Amino acid sequence: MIPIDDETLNQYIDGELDQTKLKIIKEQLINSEIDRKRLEYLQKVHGDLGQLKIYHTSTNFTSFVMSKLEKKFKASKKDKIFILSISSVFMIFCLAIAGYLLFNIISDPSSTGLIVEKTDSYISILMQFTESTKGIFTPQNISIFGSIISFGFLAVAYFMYEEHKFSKRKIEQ
Amino acid sequence: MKNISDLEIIESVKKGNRADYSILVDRYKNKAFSLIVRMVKNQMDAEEVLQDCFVKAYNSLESFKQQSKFSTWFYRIVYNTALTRLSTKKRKVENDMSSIDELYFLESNYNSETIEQKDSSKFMQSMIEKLPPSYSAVINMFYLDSMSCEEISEIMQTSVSNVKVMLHRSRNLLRDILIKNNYAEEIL
Repeated sequence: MIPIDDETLNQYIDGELDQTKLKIIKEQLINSEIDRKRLEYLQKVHGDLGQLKIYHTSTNFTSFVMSKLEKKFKASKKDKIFILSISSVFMIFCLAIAGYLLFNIISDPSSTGLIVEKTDSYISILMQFTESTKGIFTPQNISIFGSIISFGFLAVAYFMYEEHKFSKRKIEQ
Repeated sequence: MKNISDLEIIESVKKGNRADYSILVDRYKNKAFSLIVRMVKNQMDAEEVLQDCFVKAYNSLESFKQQSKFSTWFYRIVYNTALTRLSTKKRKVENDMSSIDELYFLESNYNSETIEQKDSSKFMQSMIEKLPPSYSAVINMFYLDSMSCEEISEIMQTSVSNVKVMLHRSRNLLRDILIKNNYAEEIL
């Protein structure tokens, strides 16, 4: 008699055998003591595993997780405010440049005449605006602007990194 | 509180009631903790990993599409985070389908002289702790969480037959160790 293989015994325990195979196995189990014992051992393991120990977290685990989430939420809110304030500074800076250019166009007597003549034509104002912009963004000025903006970005990145480090440390505490 | 379903809690959290998330934490913390302890083999590490899991799950709640149960989705986070912790700690993470010989090193490591436990079920508990991470994860999910092999395969992102192979190998191994250490006589 060929002994029942482990795989079949496991399938027997899990109730995965079809009726035909189940009948054959049951007959063999009646006739073979070795197979019966092997099954009993396996059932013993199956039964013991069913009483697996459950581990418990520390008592204040939930409150710790919730406070960690709260801190993280506050930190991300702080990050958003920081980014918003930095972008506002940049916006103000850009608006200041635009305002300065418009002021120059309007205060220029020749352009005022042009505006009076063609008050309905904003296109001409825009054309002049771009002309003035061209004047400002000469190769030399571009490098100055570039340096200022790069410096600005570096400063923002540094402060953001420090802020991030600080909030991370606060969350981990 | 116990009657509220996971999905109802998630909806409430998404609406801004962040405190409701604590119900989910309370509901899953111990079972998930047991799974992690059995995988990382260290309770302090396990608690840290579990905290990360709950934070990750909270941050990803928006991406939870309800295609599977919350428990399956959350356990996938738990299983993957535990594996990541193991790999960062440079511990040996065995392949899911490692050779059975690799598993049987456990059997050779334990002989009856070294075992102090009188009770076979206690002995079994200690042996499960020694199983490779994915094998003990399968055992934990199958027996403690009463999950089906299909659910476990979804969590571990492997095939159902792989899960069954791991489950059967673990049982066979534990049985052989039990016999080797004369615990089998208890049942006769």
